[in-house]
Amino acid sequence: MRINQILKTMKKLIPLLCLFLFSISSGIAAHGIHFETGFHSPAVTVRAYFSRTAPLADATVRVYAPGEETPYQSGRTDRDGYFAFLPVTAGNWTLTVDDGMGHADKIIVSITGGFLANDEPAVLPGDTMQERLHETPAVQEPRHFPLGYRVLLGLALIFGITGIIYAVKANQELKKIIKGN
Amino acid sequence: MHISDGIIDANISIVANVVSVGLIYVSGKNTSVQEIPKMGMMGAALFIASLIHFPMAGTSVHLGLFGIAGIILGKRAFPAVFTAVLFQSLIFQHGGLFSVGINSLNMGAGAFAAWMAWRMKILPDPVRAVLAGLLGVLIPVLLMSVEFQLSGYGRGILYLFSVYLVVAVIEGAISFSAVRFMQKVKPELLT
Repeated sequence: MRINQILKTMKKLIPLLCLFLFSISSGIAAHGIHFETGFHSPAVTVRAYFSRTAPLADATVRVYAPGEETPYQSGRTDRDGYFAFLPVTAGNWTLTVDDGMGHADKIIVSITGGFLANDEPAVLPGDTMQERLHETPAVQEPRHFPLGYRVLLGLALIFGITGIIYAVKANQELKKIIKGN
Repeated sequence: MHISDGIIDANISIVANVVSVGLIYVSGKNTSVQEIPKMGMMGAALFIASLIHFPMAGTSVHLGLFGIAGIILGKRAFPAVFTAVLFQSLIFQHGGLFSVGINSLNMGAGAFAAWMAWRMKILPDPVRAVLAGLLGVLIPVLLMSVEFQLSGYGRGILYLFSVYLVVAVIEGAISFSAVRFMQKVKPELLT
């Protein structure tokens, strides 16, 4: 009887399930801030973005040198979410990025002595800093599972936990009923 | 709307995590078997909702569905909100893992306010539903903007409010449609 009731409830919840499927198929993308770091001695580039097609443009960036609490440099990301700075000491440089509308994050960039010693020019004759930073293959690609898999993983975990809690609770209630009889 | 790690003071984050665990216990205490599938479904809906985002005023905003969570789950909304925020952080890196507590409290407050609005029986159902949808967005935004302001981030409460007011109106419309739908097919789903 109880199983029938659950099945009936589940049937009524089919529209919600349809909303999930629509969401998955309608070009969604994870919304958190992600970073890509590029090292082009003596400059470091950082790209901040929500998804591949949604850069964190015109966001305030503050750069903190290792161990410092006052910003070494501040500025804004460009329209593609890029920001560049020239570290002068080895250590962990902290960058805070804030779009002013509820999205802010931090990234720590480790600079080694070897990177500082490299005298490779940041700008080659005939090109511009902007072009080089955007075209460089050195920018790291994030290694994530495809979003669809991650969505399914999350749903599976949530439904799995719900199922376990349901089973435990139902078992407790069943025991109470048996004891009562 | 999701705060990343390192933005809010670490001590506040620890307190928020402890308070969240306490609230899960209080809110989930004496849950009946029949309520658990509802909580799971709502948790899954909240988990997915943040992926539906759109560009606005030079940034990216997303749905939350905390209004509907408050309407459907009432005082049981917080465990569902916490679960959704936790998995959004773990799987999408959406908000910091250490900040799950403060994010859950912000968004859970939205669901709670929505539940309070839905309980105002003197108002007609459509008005209560829209109000719940609006509060489900505006309360988390208010809390988040205050926290950002205190931490030296953001462009101010009024600016954030004006951006998220559009999202609140959309959520109000979604809550209105969802309530009308549920009243037709399964009125007992509503608290």
